Amino acid sequence: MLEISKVSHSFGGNSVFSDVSLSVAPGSFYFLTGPSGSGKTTFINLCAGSLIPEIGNISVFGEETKNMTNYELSRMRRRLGIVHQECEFLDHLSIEDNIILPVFLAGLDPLKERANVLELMKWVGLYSKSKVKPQELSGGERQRAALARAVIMSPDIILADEPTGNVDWEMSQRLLQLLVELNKMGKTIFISTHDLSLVRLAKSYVKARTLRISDLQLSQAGADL
Amino acid sequence: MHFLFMFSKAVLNNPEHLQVVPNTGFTKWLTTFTAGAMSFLAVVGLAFSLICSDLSNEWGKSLKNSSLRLSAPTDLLEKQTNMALAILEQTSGVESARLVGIGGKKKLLEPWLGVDFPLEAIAMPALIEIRETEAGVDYDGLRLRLSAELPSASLDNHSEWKRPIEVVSKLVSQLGMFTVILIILSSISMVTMASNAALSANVKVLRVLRLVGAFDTFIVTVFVRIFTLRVFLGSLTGTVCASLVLFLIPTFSENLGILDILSLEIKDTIYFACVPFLFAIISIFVTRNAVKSSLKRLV
Repeated sequence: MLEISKVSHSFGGNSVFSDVSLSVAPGSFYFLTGPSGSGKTTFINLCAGSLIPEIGNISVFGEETKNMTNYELSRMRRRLGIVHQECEFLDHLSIEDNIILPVFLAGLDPLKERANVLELMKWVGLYSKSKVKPQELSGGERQRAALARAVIMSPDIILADEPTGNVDWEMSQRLLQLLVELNKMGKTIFISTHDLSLVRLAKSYVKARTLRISDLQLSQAGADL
Repeated sequence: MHFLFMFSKAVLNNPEHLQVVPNTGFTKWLTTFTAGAMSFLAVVGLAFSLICSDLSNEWGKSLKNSSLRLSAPTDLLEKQTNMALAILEQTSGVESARLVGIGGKKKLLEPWLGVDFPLEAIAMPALIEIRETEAGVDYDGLRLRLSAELPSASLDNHSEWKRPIEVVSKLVSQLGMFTVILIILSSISMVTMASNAALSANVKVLRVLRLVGAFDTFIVTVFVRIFTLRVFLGSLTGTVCASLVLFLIPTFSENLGILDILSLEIKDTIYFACVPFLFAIISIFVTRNAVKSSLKRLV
């Protein structure tokens, strides 16, 4: 589903990864940990096709991102659910319209899908805020809205970059519960986080693997994680 | 053909697409105002060019005529006039020769003598208007013949000062065209800058659309549509305002003398009507390139 083969990447001459390989099976749950600046976001961006590796290949759904056209990259992103730490939205649209945006872009009738969206908003606890603009939401609410937008098209893989970065512990737990639920539905989850307590908590719910980025390498984290 | 297709697509498509790009904020007014102001200037420049061109043609036409003046005692004037007309009839290069009547003379002298001057009361020389063929008249030969047969006749040949005026009028006309070209080029730069400024304020929209899997063609189309619509509406407003000003000016002023001919005709509105479409086409290309280069820079 997601194959990372001997990838090396650098920014401005500074290496971020060197010869990194990974194979992600469908339905698996991964955590990616590491200190700030270690390259977690870069890794997520590489997997999402927003960055192309300098050396090596990344295959998503059997196609190498390096060889994809912009059209193919966009088509691939429609099968991915991406949640960034910043949780960017179109500020002039309501949260409901933001969540329905992927549906609209896929050419489906937003009016017909409205019921599903409201159901999803109930699931993430934002039903009462459907007409609110993104800038009026709290950090946790924005994270949940971003998650709802990421899963609206029922993607096969969910890539979440620090999804609990801006929220308190209680909200982190709720967001984690949502991701665990999605994993139980068969979705592949890939979360980058520096919050190790979240990783430990997740392991009490699902069989999650933890990877650590350090010294330009990707390694399996210790048994305590 | 492709840009016409792009333009119709940009203006006429489903308005629901417009929601993706915010239709508010200072950048909306910046683009619209810039297009309006530049269109106003373009129409004024175009009018200047058209007027110069008309003026040049008018001068060219009027200078094709020469005139013959005959001064003689009143009892001989009619006889000498008939002789002059006969000579002109025989002269090659003369298309027609016409005796200017009292009404024509009054009109000619009106700027100096006024409307009510009793021109009939004074002895006036006879005036013959000569219209040349394309080949022209041999004025030296005609002058020699007149001096021998009609010494009281005096020939005014306009072609002596026609050439420098033609050169000046051509230069003025070219200056008008140059002004229009400059305005169009500066309009392109202004619309480009306004579009880029508006796009910079919308980089977040580009990022979000990319994130949720929007195709680049979709992103380019929605931005082209909304920016072109803004530019078109701004340009239309600027063009209408400039046209109204230009068409209303002659009605506010009368008796402008030579400036009376400096008025625009209805056919000129066809040229003016092209301005908003030209701006819209410029906007399509400018916005498309700007969005494409912004998408290339996105991570």
